[in-house]
Amino acid sequence: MGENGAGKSTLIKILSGAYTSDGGELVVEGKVVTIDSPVAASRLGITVVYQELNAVLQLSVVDNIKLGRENAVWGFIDKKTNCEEILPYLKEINLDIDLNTQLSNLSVAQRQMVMIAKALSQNAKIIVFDEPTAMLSENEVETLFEIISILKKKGVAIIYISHRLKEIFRIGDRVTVLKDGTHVATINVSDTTEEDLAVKMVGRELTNTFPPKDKKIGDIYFEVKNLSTHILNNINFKLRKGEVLGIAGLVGSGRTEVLRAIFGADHIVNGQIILGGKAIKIYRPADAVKHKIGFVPEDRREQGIIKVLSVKENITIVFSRLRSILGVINKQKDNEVAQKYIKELDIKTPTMSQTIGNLSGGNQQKVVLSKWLSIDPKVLLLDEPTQGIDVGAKAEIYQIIDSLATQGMGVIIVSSDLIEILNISDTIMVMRDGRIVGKLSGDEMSEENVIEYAMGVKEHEGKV
Amino acid sequence: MKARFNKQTIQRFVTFLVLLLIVTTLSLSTDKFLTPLNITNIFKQVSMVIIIASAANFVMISGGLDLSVSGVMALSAVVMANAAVAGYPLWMAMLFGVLIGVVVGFVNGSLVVFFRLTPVITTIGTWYITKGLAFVFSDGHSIVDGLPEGFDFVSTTRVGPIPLLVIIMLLVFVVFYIILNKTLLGKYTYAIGGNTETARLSGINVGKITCIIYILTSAMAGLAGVLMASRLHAGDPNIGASGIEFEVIVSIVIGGTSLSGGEGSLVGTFIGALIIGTLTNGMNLLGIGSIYQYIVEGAVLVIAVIIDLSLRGAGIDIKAMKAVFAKSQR
Repeated sequence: MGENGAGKSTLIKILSGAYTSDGGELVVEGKVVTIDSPVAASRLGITVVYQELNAVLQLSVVDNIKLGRENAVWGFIDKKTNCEEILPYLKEINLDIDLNTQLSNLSVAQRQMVMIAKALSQNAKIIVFDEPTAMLSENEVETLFEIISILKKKGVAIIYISHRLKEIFRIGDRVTVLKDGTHVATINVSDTTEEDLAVKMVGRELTNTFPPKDKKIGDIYFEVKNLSTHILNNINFKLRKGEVLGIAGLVGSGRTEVLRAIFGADHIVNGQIILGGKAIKIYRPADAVKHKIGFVPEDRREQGIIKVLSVKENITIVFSRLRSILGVINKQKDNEVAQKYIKELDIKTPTMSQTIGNLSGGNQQKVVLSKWLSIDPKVLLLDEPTQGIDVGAKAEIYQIIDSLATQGMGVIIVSSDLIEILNISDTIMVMRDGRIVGKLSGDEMSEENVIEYAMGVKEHEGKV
Repeated sequence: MKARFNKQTIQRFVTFLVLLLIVTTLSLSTDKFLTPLNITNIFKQVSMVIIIASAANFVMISGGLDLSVSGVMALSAVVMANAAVAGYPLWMAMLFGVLIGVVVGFVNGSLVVFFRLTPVITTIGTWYITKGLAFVFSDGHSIVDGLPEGFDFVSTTRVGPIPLLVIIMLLVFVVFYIILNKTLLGKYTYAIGGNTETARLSGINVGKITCIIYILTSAMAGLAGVLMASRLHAGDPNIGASGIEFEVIVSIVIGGTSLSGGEGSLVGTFIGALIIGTLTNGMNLLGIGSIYQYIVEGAVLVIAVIIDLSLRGAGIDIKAMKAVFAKSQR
């Protein structure tokens, strides 16, 4: 465990041979070894299942598992033998899929399983998981944990990296905490508590992770009527000034699509969006921006930031237009606004001309937030705003969201983290299969309620 | 953290050093090199490339590519010559030439944006078409007869000691430098090249900007064609056939523009064009002959990209090579 930038990924990359170490020893089965390439690592039985899976999506299940180790005659692949050889490994982890399915047709969870089977087929003795649950829904996480316990029984050692404290207590035997590239502690999980681990990770007491809910909520400002897309079915809701509206549901239930449709990123088939009492037309993101709607997407690297550009360029990408005259940028205003948000949101960067790709995930996310804050949005859409962000930065982002709402902004937040969404939202909508199946507020907002609606145990009758 | 910033500065510096090295070597090797006449000549030679590259750099920073420029040049030269022969005033004939470029650019942009063709396929297609049209409108022959008095004003006019062509080139360069560094169009060009989806989700009209960039590039190719026709005193459909589109791309890439988009500078492009220009010029002066020109240009391009990649840390892994070397020594 450890915050972003603590050195977890670097450690894994040394283990897997992607990086070489400057010093120190690696001991495998009593012998000092050098791991200077991924091949050397897998020969020693060390395999990594990465967060962004390194699978070839265009290839089939069997081709992925056998990649680089195919049985072949004169260069022609002997598919039958390949399939026969990998079947037992799939069985071992109870994965029942057609071996010829192209990986791109599988869910993220299934792809992960395939990569685990691949690790097993390479006789892995140590399997490293890098944030394996980041992209999974609740029940997929359960399946993963079952597989991990099967692997444990088989005698495979697991190194499991996670931001989620609860998971460590669920499956871990021992936990090592890293901070700023150094080792903080290694303890038996049974000898510690969540609070204790959090303190070790951050190096300070984490009080008030979530801001208190005592702000004033204003009048209805934003309204969505009968919204439908090819995935969404008749979505209706209202958002008040200063309200934080949470959207919960399983992965694939249509939560992200609601935000994307409102923002004009996806095509709207049917429906009406009303802002400040007036119906507005949104055909593309540029229209939403004109109406001062901001959107922080889930995939920060591919949709939120522009990796090769500077912090300043990333912050001012929307703002510049507001202060430019005949297309000529007001550089001074741009610099001012970039400096302002670096200071206000405490973005840790040496200068504003630093390339954003060099910043940690939390700081990148603050830049994405700044991008929208700079245009003074009326409605802010947040999709998994704290995903892949360390504990300290999470608390800061909650604080920012709360202060924005206090100033009267309407905020819609999608999150897979139940604790987060329950604590930050004033109202929660639960989605399933592209529909809203429940609306919770006040005392109804409980983990049980959200899960039961999301899983289809409960459903509001008729139109919600 | 600072390392990255330094790498970009180093890269710019290295290109400049290379230019300096070539200039120094050539001035020591022959006394014909560092003369006012020869320097003027070099600038005249690189003018067309810089005029087109100033705009084409936008296309490449945005992650695209334009291979149609030599076709556009030929077509605009032929159109201008035809218009002049037909009796239109010279300025109007020139305007027609540039406008034909605008039209081709609009076609390029539309094909890329609306029909989602890749830039390479699109511009190879329009290169063939424009080239073909140039032949059709000229019956396959250079248009020389009937050109009005003063048609060749580009080759005859000077402002003080400086040829008009160089003045126009510098003007174009400055205008595009300002657009790239001071305006929204420039900012959005970098954004689109850096990450198209982020740019779209930031409210940038990606299609419109892309289209404008292609139009600007073809317009500048049109301008180059018009200037070339005047300079040669002919509407020749074979103008630019020596591969000016690649000279443009080579200059831009040597100047540090990333082929994957999002990075690049116009000053770098200017230096890149001068490197190619001085090399060609020097080889001629030294009597090596222009038949070797392509080989040298190709080698310079490949070496420039190797240096660029390793400075970015994306190319050959020097550390790993050292390790392998050390092992073999043991």
